Amino acid sequence: MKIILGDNQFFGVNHFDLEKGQQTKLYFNDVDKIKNFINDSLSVGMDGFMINSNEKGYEIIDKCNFNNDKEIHYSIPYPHKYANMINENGMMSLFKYIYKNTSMINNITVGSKLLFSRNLKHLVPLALDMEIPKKLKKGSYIYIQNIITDLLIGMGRADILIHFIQTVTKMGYKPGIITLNPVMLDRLLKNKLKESLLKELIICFNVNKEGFNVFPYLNKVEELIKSKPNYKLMGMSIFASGASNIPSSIQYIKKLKLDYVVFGTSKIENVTSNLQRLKA
Amino acid sequence: MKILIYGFGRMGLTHFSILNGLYPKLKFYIVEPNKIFRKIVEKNIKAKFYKDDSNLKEAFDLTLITTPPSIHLMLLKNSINRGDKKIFIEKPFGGHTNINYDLSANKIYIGYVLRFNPCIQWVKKHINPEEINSIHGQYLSNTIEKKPSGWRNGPFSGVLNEMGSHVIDLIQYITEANEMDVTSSIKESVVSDVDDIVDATLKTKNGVSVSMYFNWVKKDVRKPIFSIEIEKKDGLKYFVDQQQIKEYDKNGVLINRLSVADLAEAVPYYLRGIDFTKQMTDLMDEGSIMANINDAIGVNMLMNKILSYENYPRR
Repeated sequence: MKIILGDNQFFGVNHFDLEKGQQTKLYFNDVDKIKNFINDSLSVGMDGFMINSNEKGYEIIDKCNFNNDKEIHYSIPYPHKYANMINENGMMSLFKYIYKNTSMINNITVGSKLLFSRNLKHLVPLALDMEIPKKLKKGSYIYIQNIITDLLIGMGRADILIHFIQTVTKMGYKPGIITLNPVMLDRLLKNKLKESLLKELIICFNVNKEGFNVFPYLNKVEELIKSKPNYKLMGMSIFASGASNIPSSIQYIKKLKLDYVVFGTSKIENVTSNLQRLKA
Repeated sequence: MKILIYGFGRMGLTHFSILNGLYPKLKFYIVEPNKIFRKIVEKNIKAKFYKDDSNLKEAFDLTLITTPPSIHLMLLKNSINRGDKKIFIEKPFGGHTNINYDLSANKIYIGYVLRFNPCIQWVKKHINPEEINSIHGQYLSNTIEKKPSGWRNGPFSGVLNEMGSHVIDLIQYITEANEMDVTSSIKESVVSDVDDIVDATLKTKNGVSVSMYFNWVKKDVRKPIFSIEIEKKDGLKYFVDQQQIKEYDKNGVLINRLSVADLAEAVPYYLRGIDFTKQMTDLMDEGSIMANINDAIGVNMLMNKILSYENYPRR
């Protein structure tokens, strides 16, 4: 099982305690502090790190160098940026923004397809072009954030997720999908993708002993894990966003035999101790 | 089951996805007046699209009105005339100027989604409204970074209508009091031309002190945060936000803490929060938690009082 450093602590996300989230956000107030923490975590043995394409995350990938043997898991998009855009100027502003911020070649080749077919799946290459930093090393994982995945699941557009997997793979990266509805997603992906594309795919979802924010139910997610799907499984929120007892949570997680886990913390001592327990 | 959605903006899309995710056999009909947007989405979603409702004569099983508040009343009348069986209207129903309601129809619900937060449901279950001495509500976000365009920069928008209405509904839901007098009210425009910050104090008929603070231009807030602070007559205090409930004794010492993890609830399909899914399942059932039209008019009346306090024109 590979262990990945999460990024919630860098950006003030704490699903258990808002105040604590705010404090850690203040602590990681510049890119250097984040970069140093990532490097320290990698040097104590973490297998890689996950980072979101928000302003700081983009800058970190675009400007900083990391140990080449370690994995980068890059998630797109930063949902709040787009939510605010829609709040201020309506749904159409989203399309305008994408057109304005993607390369001319992509606008002509892919944008014309979108214009002609009006199929939203053609937004995928444009969004990737806009969100991926030029310096992100090939072979890194690119994830689609759960708010988009789960919206597409609800809309009945799993084909867009499949297009995302295919496009990311063609670009020389590996695909990842974050979802809070892993059982529904599994059903939608079944028999829709070639084995070769599934091999590199990671599905990242909440799983913890307490069943906190595990949907639809913990036992259904456990069943999914036991069914050993053809793609890789990554557990997130493994400590129930800080609500759980860490040693017993780790014991539980280890029994699940996942391919990856991702956890976030603002203290390097916690990185080391969690890592030791997870690898023991 | 036939479902009509008026307006396919962020909320229309959210409710559509949740309902479609939960009940895949529903048939959707969507009225979206923006021609370009309609042409795009109709190619991407399994639903029938219309530019307006002039050709929709048959009654729907459920209608969701998720348009700007300025046309809520008109669309509600159309829905009632058509005989629609159940109607859901996004908050705030018609905005703060909509303080009279003379239509008769059953099963009309308003989308005050925060009622469905597990922490709020805990408060509703464990705190007796008659024991409340004071209550403070707050909503902070960084929703507006630049001056908005369109209706969001007009009299149907502003932090009070869009965010504050949620908290006012919670205060009324928890205290079970919707008649209050305003004792102070400060409104401030920072980014938009309407109220971006509102700070108000009120008193209920039963003497409960109420205070509110809303700010949607708070730069250091990543995600919208609401919180409620309750002081009971026996001196016990409660701090409640979307993630936790803290109980303090008379001396301010923390005596109990419950988190959403302790109140963990599961939903069959998740998008944007448990509360959004639960709101839709409640709507499809009996609407036992949802705000009704009287609750919503109560919120509007209070917003109206807060905004017109000090007798100077709001905008």
